[in-house]
This record gives sequence, C-alpha cells and structure tokens, in this order.
Amino acid sequence: MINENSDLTDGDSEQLLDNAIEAVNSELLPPGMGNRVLDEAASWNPLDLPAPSSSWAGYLTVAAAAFITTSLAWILLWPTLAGLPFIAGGPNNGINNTYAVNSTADNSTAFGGLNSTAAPIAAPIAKVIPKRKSYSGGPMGIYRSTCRGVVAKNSPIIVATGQKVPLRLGQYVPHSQKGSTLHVWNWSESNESRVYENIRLWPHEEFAVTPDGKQLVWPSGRVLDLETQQETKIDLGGEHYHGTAAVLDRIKRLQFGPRGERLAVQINDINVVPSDHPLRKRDLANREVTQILDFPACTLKCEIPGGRLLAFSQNSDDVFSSVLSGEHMEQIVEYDGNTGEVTRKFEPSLKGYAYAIDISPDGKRLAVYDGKTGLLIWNRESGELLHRVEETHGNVSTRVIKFSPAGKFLAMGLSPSEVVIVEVEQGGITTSLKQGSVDTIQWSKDGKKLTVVARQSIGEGMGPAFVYNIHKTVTKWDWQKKKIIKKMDSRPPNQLEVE
Amino acid sequence: MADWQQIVRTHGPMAFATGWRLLGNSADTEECVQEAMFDAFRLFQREKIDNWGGALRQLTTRRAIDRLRKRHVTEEMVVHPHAPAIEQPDSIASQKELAERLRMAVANLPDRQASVFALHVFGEMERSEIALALGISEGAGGVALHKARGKLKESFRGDLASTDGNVSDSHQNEEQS
Repeated sequence: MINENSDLTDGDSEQLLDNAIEAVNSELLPPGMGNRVLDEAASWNPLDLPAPSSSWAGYLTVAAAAFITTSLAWILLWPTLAGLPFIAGGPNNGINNTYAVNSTADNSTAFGGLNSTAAPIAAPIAKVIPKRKSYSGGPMGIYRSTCRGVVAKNSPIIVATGQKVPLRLGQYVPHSQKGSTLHVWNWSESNESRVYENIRLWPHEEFAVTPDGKQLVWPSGRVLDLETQQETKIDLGGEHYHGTAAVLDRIKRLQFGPRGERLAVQINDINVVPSDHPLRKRDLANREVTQILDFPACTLKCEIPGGRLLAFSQNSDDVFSSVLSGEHMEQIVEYDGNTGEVTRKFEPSLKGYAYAIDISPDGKRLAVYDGKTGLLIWNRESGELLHRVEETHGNVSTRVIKFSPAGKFLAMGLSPSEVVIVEVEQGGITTSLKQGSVDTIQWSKDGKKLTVVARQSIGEGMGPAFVYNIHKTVTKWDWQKKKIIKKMDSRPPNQLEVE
Repeated sequence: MADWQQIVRTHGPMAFATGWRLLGNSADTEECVQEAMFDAFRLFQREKIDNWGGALRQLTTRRAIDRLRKRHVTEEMVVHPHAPAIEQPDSIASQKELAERLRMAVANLPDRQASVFALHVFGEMERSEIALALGISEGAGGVALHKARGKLKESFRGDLASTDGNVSDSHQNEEQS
C-alpha cells in the first residue's frame, strides 16, 4: 500500500515511475506459461481462414496450387522415396498424410499448414474440484470467454462459436474444447444449435447480427445469409488500416439500427496513409468516429464522434450516443441520424459512464444507466429529466435496459442476478425477477411477457479461474405473475475444472 | 513466404513476455496473446510483413491495452464497483502494487502514447522499430513517449494524493500527439 502524500516532487514521481517499470519487468513469467497458446497458434493452418479475396475462386486457387505442388513433388521424388523403408511400410509409420500440402519432399509446410513435426496441442493443466452448490458468498473465479455469443435484437436467434457438434443452450464447454465453427440457435424451435460446419466464426472476431437474425456481417464486408448459407459482400471501407510494417483493425464495432436498415460502424483512430475511398475520408483524423451507413448499400449517411454506446430511434432517423463531458463523466447527445448534427445534449451530464441506453419505441422517453448513480429517464422531446432511479444496494450494474413496446415499462438487467421492471411514468421498480447475468431482454408484442437471454454465473472476480465457456440460457417470463413460462438451459457438469 | 510455425516459435515468446508485463495475470495474458496470434495469423495470409517480431509485439500490446481498459470497467462494474477506498497503512508501496498502478496508468493513456510506451518499455523495442510498426515518424514516437512518461508521473502523483480508487479514462477524449 502507498502512503497518502500530495507533496510529491517531480523527481520523486520520476523515481516512482522508474521503480514501477522495474517492478513490472522483474515479474517473472510462470514456467511453461504460454506453451499451450503458442503450440496451438503454431498448429494453425492458413487454409483454415478465407483467402484475402474471401471468394471461392480464392479457395480454388489455393487448393489447385496445393494439388499441383503435391503432385509434382510426388512425381519428382517418388523414385527416391519408394526405395526408403518407411514408405514401403505403409501409411501408419509416422508419416502424417492428413494434409496433402504437407507431403512435400522435406515435409515442410508449403502453405504453412500442419506438418508431422508440429507440437501437439497441449490441454490446459487442470485439476478437479468438487462442484459447489453456490458461490453467492463472494467472487470466486474469472470467466474466460473463448467464444463469442451475440443475440439478434428482435428475433429468437443467438450466434456463437463452438466445435462441430450441436450445443445446448446454457451448455458448459471446457475451455480446452473451444472451437471455431459457427453455431446458431433459434430458441423458438430448439435449445440445440444448428452447426454450420463449413463456416468459421473465430472466438475473437467482431461481427454483427441483423435484428431479424437472418444475416451475419463481418468488418471485412462479408455477409452470410444464415438460412441459405449464401455469402455476399458489401463495402464497409476495409477491415484494416495498412501501415508500413503492420496492419491494424480499422473497424472496431458494428451495430445495427432496430430495423436493420442502418449500420453503425465504429472506426478506430489511427494515422495511416490517406485514402480516397468514400468511407475513409477520416483516415487522418486523430479521433474515433462512428459512421452511420445505409445497409446493405453502405452509403454514408453521417459521422458522429465516438459512439461508445449507441442507440437508434425506431426509424433510425435519430441516434443517441454517450460522449465524454469531463473526467470519468459522460453526457448523452442526440444526433440527426441523417446529417450527424447535434440536436440535443441531455442535461444533467451523467456522474459516471453510461452503461446502457434505450429509447422508447414511440420516441418519447430516453433511459440511460449511469454507472455512478443508477437509472435516468428523460422526456426525450423536452429534454427534461423525469426520474432518477437510484442505486441503493451496491455492487450492481447493468448493461441492458429495454423499453416495453408501449413504453410503459422498462426492463433492466442488473448484474449479477436480477431483472427489474420499472414503471416509466412513476419511475419506480415494480417487479424483480431472479436471473443470471443478463445479456439481452426482449418483450412480447403485448408487453406481458419477457424473454431474457442470460449467462449462468459460476462466480466472477478474484480466485481460481474456471476454464469454461457457458453458453447463453433463455428464460421466458410472465413478469407480472413473476412466473417462468419456459426455461432453456443445461445442467452444470458434476465437477468443475479450475486452473 | 515465411513459415507461420517458425514465426510463432521465434517471436511468440517475446510477444508473450510483452503481454505478461502489461497484464501481469496468466489467464488474461493467454487470452490476449491468443487474440494477437489470431490477428497475426490473418495478416500472415494477406500481407508481407518484414518485421514479425515487431508486428507480434505491437498486436499483443494493442490487445493488452484494450484488455486492461476492459478490466477497469469490469472491475468497477462487476467485482467491486462501490468498494471502499483502499486503506492506506504506513508502509511503502509494494512492488506488486506499484506494478499494478503502472498498468492502470498505462491503460489510461491515449492510444498512441500507451502503445509507444508499452512497446518501448515492456516490448523492448527501439524507437525506430516502434515508428515503423506504428507507421509514424521517429520524432512523433519520441514525443509520444515523452508525453506518456509525463502523464504517468502525473498519474502517480494523483494516485498518491487520492484514496478513492477511481480510475481515469482520459484517453477517450484526448487528442493524440
């Protein structure tokens, strides 16, 4: 611990900084740490990823090249190799023939693929402890997400990564079994995922799902129709910035408007070579911007600053975003979604950061969760702050708030384990429902039922690191009766692995 | 074309060390390096990179800084958002705490300053290498490094004078040099 001392001189702080650098650099890497990750990375085969053109022509070119190279190698070397005893012994004598490209003369990786000398993928070192019934007594672990999971805004669709076998909603998947295959759940039909065997979705990829759950869009401009599995391409201006020695992500985040006709593209702030692309006029800007595009045409409607947290009005003509208004403080700003002009700054500024934002379907109310104080509800038309629903019991936050279709109620997912319903005109909490860590809330059209997509919590914070991904669960509520109509989840394994 | 496996074996350990220094936590470092390796893997397929050592460290640094920033938000939000101020015993700072404070302070620097500082101090890269990796002039890199040090010193002064445990997030609105 450090003494309080406001009389620190410049020399003292310089010394303290140097000491801190030394402290960091003197922390030794735990022995063997990183081997698993590096072994796994070394084993990746470039053919696992789409070619730069993302076209089937690209695949065919690579495949044809692989075939020709392999054939030539065998034609040229067969007379030599045929006389060697390990060849004569047949396929099960140490030669890995899984990938044709590996069968070149020196067993090298003509296309960087797997070869027989690649180190095996090491399983994480794990020990087993008995399952505990509850961790409600305190934070007990770190959830390590190695899969992505995204919920469509207005449809019963969840998209995630996994291995090539169907997954159940709420399934616990050990970290060591993570995969990179696209899974899609339609929870109105089944609690098992549909596996898109030939489509990769990497755990750390950015992507967005259209609100109707019919299409996936990647920053590269690749668009996948989830029904037909047909791929098309749109021009988002490029996924990367191309520097002189490295390529950096240009697109940070994608978010659809409520009807899917607008796409917000959050652009990273990096200096690079100027471009004359219509969506890249900001390449030399020193700030983050969000571009609002028509989808799928990708014509630029406008640009707004920042856009860390964003909400669209129902017709997408207005955009609401949180912007910094001071140190540790944000303010909600409304923009014209067609011109990018500021139409209102909502007062007062928040006391902290905005964690969740929503606009009522009729456009009359705006709700924001301020991380410092709680829920704020404004009259969107007059800009008057109507209610402040204070946070009283601590240790709670939310990333999800959602107005009911008629705008009378607002559901708020409180972390770690609650959904509360706020009566909007009164500004009071009327109901509380026990839930896991809430990801998405959808209202039924009549506002009487709630579907909550959540993740079961096995405890988060300091302590042993549970090496599981837990897929999302779906719970349908009659919220007025506080009654669960349907719950789709999975039982946890009898024993939990920890690192 | 360079051999992917060779790149990982040769430069991966240094990228790991860089991530470890920035994050100081094995789970986070593994995740961060995994992400950076994936970024690098995609690059490998489409770009000719002259300096894979620098590129891997840069990608790792970028992911690690992102992760540090998320860690702040997550800790503030989920783990102990309203935790009481750290009690201040009369002992001097422990090495561990100093290291953690530096990491938090680096995460709060503007992007370029954070990257340049981390690559130089934790990634052991020369200024010329950093300039090349980030696509900036060596002079701009030097200015960024100088400013980063200044801000970190300020941050240490501020931290020492404050006991409220809040984190700064000034990088979001600061114009980069």
